[in-house]
Amino acid sequence: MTSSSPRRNSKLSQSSKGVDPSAQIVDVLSESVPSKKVPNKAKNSKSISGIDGGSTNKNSISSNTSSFPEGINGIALGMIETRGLVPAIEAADAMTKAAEVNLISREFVGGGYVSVLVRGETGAVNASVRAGADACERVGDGLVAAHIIARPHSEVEPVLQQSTAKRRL
Amino acid sequence: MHKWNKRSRPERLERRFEFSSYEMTRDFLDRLGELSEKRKRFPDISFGKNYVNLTLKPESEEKEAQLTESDVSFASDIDNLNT
Repeated sequence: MTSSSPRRNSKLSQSSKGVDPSAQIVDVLSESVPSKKVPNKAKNSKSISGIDGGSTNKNSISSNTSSFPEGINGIALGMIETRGLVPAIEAADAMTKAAEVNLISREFVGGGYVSVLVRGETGAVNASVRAGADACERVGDGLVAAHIIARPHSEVEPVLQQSTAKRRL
Repeated sequence: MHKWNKRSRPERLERRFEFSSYEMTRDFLDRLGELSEKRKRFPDISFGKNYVNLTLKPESEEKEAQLTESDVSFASDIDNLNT
């Protein structure tokens, strides 16, 4: 007799579709920070693109750029790099609270540095990054760098896909 | 305006502002944000605790767009924020 717990069935169904369920545990901040503006469609497209990483990038790029959460449009990109995870989380929280932006990625870039990326309308991203910089300056070792690109080139889009880096426990 | 560096490929204006404290950096960024909202022009901004680097690209989104008087005027307005 086989066990039929909902979680196991869910994982089995994901595996049968070629999706690695363990690789979907990708982003601390997108899981913990309430992103009420993100519909499930956008979330699924991001996680699948992160898992695949290569061949479906173009499809996921078009789906990601065309499936911005409702109410949050714009292509401007805001990035904050912090020393340590705690200021990064604080920055991400402040950024998403300060303006209508979409938290798209958190990256461990090595050496204890953490980068947080948001997208949205240019004015919103500007305000958001300033708020995030203020927040992480008050926490831990603080701000390393912040950057805002008003109109990223489309060739940059693959770099902005969520990485498959697993959360370090 | 003379403190802006004009670069090519693509054509743009670049300038670095330095400040003695993070508070001054933030104050400048707030003033820049207000100016940007007012003029609907948003330069690329890179900043740390004591510096702000600005990159002002042409308003036009064409590939070979050139800087115009409007861009120079906006650069001058940004300079005035730091006085």
